[in-house]
Amino acid sequence: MSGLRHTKDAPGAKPTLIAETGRLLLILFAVTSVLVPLLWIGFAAFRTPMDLTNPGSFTINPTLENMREVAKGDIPGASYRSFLVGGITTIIGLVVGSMAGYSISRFKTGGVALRFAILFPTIIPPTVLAFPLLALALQINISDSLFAVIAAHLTIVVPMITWFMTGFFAGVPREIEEQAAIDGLGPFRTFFQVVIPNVLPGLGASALLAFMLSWNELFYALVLAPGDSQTLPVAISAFNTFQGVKLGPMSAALLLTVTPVIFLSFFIQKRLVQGLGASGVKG
Amino acid sequence: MASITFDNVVKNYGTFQAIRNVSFEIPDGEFAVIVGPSGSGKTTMLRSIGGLESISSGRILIGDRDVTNVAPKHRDIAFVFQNYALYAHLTVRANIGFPLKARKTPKAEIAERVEDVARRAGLEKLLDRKPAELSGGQQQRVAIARALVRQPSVFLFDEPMSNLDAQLRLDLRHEVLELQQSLGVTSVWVTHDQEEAMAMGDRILVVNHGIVEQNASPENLYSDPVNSYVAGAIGSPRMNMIQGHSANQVLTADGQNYPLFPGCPDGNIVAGIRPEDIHPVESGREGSFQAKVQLVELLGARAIVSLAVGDRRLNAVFSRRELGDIKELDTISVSMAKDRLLFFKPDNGERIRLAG
Amino acid sequence: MSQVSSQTLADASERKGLFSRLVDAFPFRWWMALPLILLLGIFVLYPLGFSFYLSLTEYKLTNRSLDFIGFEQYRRVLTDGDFTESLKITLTFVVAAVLIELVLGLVLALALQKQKFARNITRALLFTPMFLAPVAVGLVFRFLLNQQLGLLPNALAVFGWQVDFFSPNMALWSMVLIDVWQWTPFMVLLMLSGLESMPKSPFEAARVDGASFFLTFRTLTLPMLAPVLIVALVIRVLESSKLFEYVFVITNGGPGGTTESLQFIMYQTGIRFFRLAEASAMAFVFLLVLAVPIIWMLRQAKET
Repeated sequence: MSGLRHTKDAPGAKPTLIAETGRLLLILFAVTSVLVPLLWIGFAAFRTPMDLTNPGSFTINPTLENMREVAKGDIPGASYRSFLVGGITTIIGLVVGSMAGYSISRFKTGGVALRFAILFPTIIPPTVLAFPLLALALQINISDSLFAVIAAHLTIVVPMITWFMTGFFAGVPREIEEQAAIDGLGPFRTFFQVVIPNVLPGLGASALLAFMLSWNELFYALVLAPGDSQTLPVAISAFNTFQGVKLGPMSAALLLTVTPVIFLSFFIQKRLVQGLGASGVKG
Repeated sequence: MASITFDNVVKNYGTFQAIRNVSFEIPDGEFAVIVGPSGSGKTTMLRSIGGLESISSGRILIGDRDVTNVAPKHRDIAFVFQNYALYAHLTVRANIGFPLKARKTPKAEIAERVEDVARRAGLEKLLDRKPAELSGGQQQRVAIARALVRQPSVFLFDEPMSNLDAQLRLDLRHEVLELQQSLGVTSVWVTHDQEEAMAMGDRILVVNHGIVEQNASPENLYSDPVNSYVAGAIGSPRMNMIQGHSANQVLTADGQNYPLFPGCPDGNIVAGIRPEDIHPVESGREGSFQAKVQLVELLGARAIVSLAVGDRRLNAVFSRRELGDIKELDTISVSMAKDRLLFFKPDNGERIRLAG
Repeated sequence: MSQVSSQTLADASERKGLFSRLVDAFPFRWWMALPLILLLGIFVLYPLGFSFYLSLTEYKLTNRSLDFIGFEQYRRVLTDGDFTESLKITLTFVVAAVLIELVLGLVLALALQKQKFARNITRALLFTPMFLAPVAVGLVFRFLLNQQLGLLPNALAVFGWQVDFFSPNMALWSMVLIDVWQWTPFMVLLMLSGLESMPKSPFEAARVDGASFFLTFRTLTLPMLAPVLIVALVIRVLESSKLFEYVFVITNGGPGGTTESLQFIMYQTGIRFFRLAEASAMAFVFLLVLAVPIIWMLRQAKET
């Protein structure tokens, strides 16, 4: 064997043809598995009830009937409420979370106890908090309102933002703050005028992720606002029927629920990896 | 304009003493360099002057004013950081103007002063860029311009060039010195590079283990160090240190004899001789000894010659003319310039000064 | 000396307003953390305490009695076969789903690491499921796996396989399948970020030394990835143990109670049957069970 051949065949240097084919097939399989369900729903959203009852066929007489049906029902109102809950939760979360994240990142405020207190609400089963929150909401007559849902969502969103931002703040050089101190800024102005602009990308990713968490959340919303104030996940969960006639509108509603999130997710994926890295998930 | 005074300053981090009861004065208008290895406390001293670290005891004065408990913004100082600490989201113009804006200076005046400083620092064309679009050298210029704009009474520099390449460092060195001389502002510059210290300082403070070993002009540090630490820290290549026993004008170390001269101290001593004070001589001359040439490193006009004397290595710097056709593995005669020999106590490194 | 510099701290503080004095009286770092601490106190700590108290009463949504009855609810929960059955179902689901996700995630992460062609778009596509609402995913699969109308059973029928994904024998495994579809991407994301943050030089050295792929994987990749694997494992165990949405929108616990997850019977007990006190007791028992992986994680975190 010539020297050149030898290097080429050296283990680890270049994968064999079989290994490479296997790798590509695996990825192809994964991509197909992810895409088919989503495309099928997108497809179904524009099919007539007649076509839908015939699963083997791919015939389509494109129709907006399903969309119209969805527009008449609870979905638009529920979307608006979900948007409202997500928006308010995210804004409060950003303010509270970035302030606390900075404090924890720079000054180790609260030590291990506070760090644990932040993780706690995200790891416990939601039933632990949902039931007492419902009882309390009933007591002060705010059950089936968005207030209770926002409060519950804050318990997930704020810790997440705090945790992420702690990592992003650690990447800001301290000298920036010292320079600001010499320049005559107090600590609060330093935080808002000098530090925050340095973590805007992280803040943006946290905001999107926070919004998505709230937008997707079912359990708290279901327990705390099952009636007139239902959010989008609660509203679409009502499509749990085996009747073929409802499959079209269900697909249309799912498409409406899922599309904005897919769109947003493309923006944050890169930052998400950074955030996970920065906040020490990597060990 | 102001002098800087340390009066019995102590800084503790828990049980670790970063500054151990240090007193010194830097006169008004001088360019002082604090030099020392990492962990020696040099940066802590600088940050204490700036108010970025509070000290454990003692006083710090800027001019006649006791600033020990004064916030950084009220100390009338400017600080240039190793990593520049520019505001990444602001343009160069806004960065330079920021200290003025923070002090609520009128807009027109800010604009005027920023333009003026930018011209001096050679940044006119870059004013509307963001820091990320600048090279390291340009970023450091912006940091310096930002320090200049407020016309503070003290400039503090924390290893501001350690992230730049060698040529750029030399250029910026000159510019900073020219600016400082034209403004006459008292400046403190921290570095671990003794060559930079020698080149820049009107005054050098050699710092080690939280104390100032010596505070003197570069010439004095070089020719008249107070102890073996300073002697070794200043000058490159380092001073040769020969520890041995001296009697009858002969120093015996590791079985090798080195001729000394009348008036040299007897007993156990350390003799220090700088590489540039060892010269080749014709063999047999009084005071000479034999050495084997191990290595010759040509540096243009000079050469660093590594000599073996018995088991000991001595570094010498020969001029081109002295080097002649000496080459590696030759055995040559050398002598030490007698009046340049320094003596230190072997136990604490303290200088032994010769009588008369 | 300029005017600014001649101000001493004492001068400055005399001109301070009430607000500034208030700010100075309390350290900055605690001011910054205060909103978070208040929020955690009001919306987490207080409900948590109240929840525990609820579990010691006979509170029902129809009869809001707060009379203290001791640990009666806990006795009921632990002796009642439904809860332990549900615990078994949940554990089976967690172990199966997380193991599959772990292995599949690792294999996919390794495959994706080498992927050069259409790199970013491939990744973005594969990560998509974890961003979707679990309710929506549940409904998608309810449609897709439906025996009469679903794509997959009909596709399998072409090959002569008749599969009812929601039969008593299959339903829980279908839940596992859905969880794997939605959450393997999360594993891939964590592991890819772990793989790509590894230093390159040990791998280059191994290549020079002629180490095989499997040797390199066993002696370099796996040990260096271990911290990430542990974190990923713990997060997934905790999250998958909260199985609710798929069950809620697909099987409603059925058929024959084979998919009654803990979270589902708590909802059933507390909301559908109004017995909030008993449901709270269940929640605390569940929390106690979850403490095992949590404590394990904290131990691991301390070691690394």
